[in-house]
Amino acid sequence: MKRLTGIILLLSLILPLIQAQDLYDLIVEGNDHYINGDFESAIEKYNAVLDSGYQAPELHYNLGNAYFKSHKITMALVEYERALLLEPYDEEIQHNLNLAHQYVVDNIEELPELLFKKWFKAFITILKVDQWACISMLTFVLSLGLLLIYLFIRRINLRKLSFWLALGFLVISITTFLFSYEQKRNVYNNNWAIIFSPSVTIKGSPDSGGTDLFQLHEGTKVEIIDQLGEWREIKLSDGNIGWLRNEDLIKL
Amino acid sequence: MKLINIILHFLFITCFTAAAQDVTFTADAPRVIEVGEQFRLTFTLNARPSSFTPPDITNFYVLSGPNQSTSTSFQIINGKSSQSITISYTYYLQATTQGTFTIGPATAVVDRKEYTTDPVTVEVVGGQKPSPTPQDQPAQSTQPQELPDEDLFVRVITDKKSVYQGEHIIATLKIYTRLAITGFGSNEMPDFSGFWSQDIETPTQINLQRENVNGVIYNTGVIRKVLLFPQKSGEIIIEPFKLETYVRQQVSTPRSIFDDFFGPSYTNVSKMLESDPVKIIVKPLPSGQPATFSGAVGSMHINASVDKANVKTNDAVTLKFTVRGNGNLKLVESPKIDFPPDFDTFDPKVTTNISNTLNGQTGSKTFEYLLIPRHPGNYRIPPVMFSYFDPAKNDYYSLQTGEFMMAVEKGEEEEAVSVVSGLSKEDLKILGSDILFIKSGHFKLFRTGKTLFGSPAFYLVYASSLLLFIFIVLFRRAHIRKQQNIELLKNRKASKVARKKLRQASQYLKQNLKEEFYEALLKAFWGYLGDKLNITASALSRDTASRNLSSYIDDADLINRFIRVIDDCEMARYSPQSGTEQMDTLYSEAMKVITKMEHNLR
Repeated sequence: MKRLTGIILLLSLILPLIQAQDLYDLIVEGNDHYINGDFESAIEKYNAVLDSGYQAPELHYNLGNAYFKSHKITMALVEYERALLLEPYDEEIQHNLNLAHQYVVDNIEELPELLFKKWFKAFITILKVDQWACISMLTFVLSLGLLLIYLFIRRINLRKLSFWLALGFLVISITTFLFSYEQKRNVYNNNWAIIFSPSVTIKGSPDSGGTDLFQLHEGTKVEIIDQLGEWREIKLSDGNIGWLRNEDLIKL
Repeated sequence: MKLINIILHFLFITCFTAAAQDVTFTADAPRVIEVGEQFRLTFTLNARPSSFTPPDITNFYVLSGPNQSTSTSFQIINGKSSQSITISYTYYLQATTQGTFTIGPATAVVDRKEYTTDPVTVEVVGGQKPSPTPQDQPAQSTQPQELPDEDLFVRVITDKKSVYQGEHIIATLKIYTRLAITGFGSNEMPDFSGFWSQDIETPTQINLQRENVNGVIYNTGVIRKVLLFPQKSGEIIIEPFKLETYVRQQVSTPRSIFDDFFGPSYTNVSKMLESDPVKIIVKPLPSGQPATFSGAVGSMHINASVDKANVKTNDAVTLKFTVRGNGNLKLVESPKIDFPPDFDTFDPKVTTNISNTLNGQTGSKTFEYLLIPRHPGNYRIPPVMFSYFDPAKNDYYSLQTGEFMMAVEKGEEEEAVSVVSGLSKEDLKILGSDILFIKSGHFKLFRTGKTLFGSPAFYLVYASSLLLFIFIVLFRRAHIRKQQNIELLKNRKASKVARKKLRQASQYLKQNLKEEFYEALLKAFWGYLGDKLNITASALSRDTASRNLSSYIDDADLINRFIRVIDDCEMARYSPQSGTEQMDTLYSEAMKVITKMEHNLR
């Protein structure tokens, strides 16, 4: 019985490795196709990797490039945005995204964000989800350790110091925990979407008979703020709000 | 100053060398003579020789000679004097036999240098009537005679009848006469249509020379020599050439004594001479022309040079391209050179140094390209390509010069500004925008949505660490409780024991038992300390007490008071003059300290 569980444990450790090796081969094949100018095949290979449940910012970036080269600008934008969510400070991704943006028809003026909000976002994106999570864990354990010192050491100075340090670490642990939570929400549960239909009329209500508010074209980035059945309420970066069907969007 | 010196030196040297090299030594004799005719053979030298060796004259009868004659001329031009000397040795010879003879070279030594003349060939024509001279001309009538065609005619002579397009022909316009010509009137030169014509320089004074034409000696004169370059293929006809000529003819008048005295009278007769048209066949150039061929025909070679290989920006560089040789040089076009685009280039300055000779056009044509590099860097000027057709070898030849590498350094900034005021910063030339290349390096894949945050392991860390913490605390607490149970008991009893001792002390105080009072007080203090601080009685001392106390209590004042009570007790116990009021104060102080201590040490 014990042996069987051991084997299962070992297999569960090795199997993902083997699978990962296959995926890397797929990526290399995709890269080769891309270099040879066979972008459709490259897209196929990259997508196969993504479908198997793995991803990487570089993979999204490469896929975006392949889409761009085969003139699917909207899909390229989606992939670049996804890559940028995972790797917010990559200049190459930013460059290609900007280039792809030149093909977007809609020119929407962005509303200036609150300075505090901007800073918070910038700060939060310095580290990734798991890095924040690690910091949170470490500081939590540290603060507990310091509390032990406070409880069991009789020396007054040491006790004081350890108490305040424990408190500080606890605060850091809680905030980084929140940061990690926020980051994860940003990457995997964000409300960003990109208009996929070449041209779509935004309605004033979740209903085909609703008032036509404005027209959007493919490639424009919007934020989903509400949903009702097939309908999604979106908000543009200039503050305009309206409803459109889910099929006109691609979520990031 | 230095430059002037050099120039003066240079001029000086060239003058002298020119004078030294200008020794010419020539032989002169008629080309055609008749048997029995007397003629002159002259050797002319323009310097004074130290020795003169005449040639052996074997085939002719020497009537007299060598007769030496010297002529000297002295010139002062602008205060500069120059002297020239001509020495000639003249032979008077008579031809005795028919044939072609060569008179060998004569040798003269000037300044220890030997000079020789070219051999002279003399053709002796024999067995014919003496050439008609005006004197011998029978003069029967007063009317001028019709001049016979065979005595006077003009011809256009070409050296070739069939040429390639662009290949040169030499056309010579010649007059042949056996009469005395006094002058020429109007003439009509052919226009050489279909040719590109270049005159070859001939002396303006027409020198008549004797020539043997079909055994008859004519005096011939070259009127004009023309280089012709056919511009189209096919048959081209050189139009006839017309020349009005005046000939002196004796006019016979009734004989009078004046005739004998003044000699016969003459009159000038004019005649319009016309040459025959000449047909030239021009072959087109064969196919297979190189790409760089631009119509050059002949035999040429090229040369290219750059005056500087290392330059600074905005400095001028000259690329000199020279075509040298023989052919239709004047028609050579400037070659197309692909200069680097960062160079400012100008149309080439063309200098030609061409002379039209009997061998065609020879000389050189030089193209000077002025280049101004505007930006520093290493540049390559590609080889200059040139190709020509060689009619003699019937083939095309392509030539190319070497390529030039040019290192351009950044020039002086100020200079650049002052020289080229309009020089502006160049924007980066965007040729087109494209996305950056894919990231082909190895990167790490991770499961989508699977993060450490939110995973069971993540929460497990928090939970387990918290549990561990609580466990440790509880365990430690229990352990301490177990270990310190006795101490705890002692600790709890400590104040009771102390109070009991103090009560006893107060009884001693009432009984005024000094020694017992102090002893009880001390016991109460030490006992309290030992129980509270968990120190054995033997280890107790004033120092250990204060040290241990300070680690539990922050209040230094209290510790001092505590210690002072002990000190006072120790002192008063053995001092005789301590009164009851001192015992009273000490007792109350001891009570206060103990209560306060009890407060702090809990």
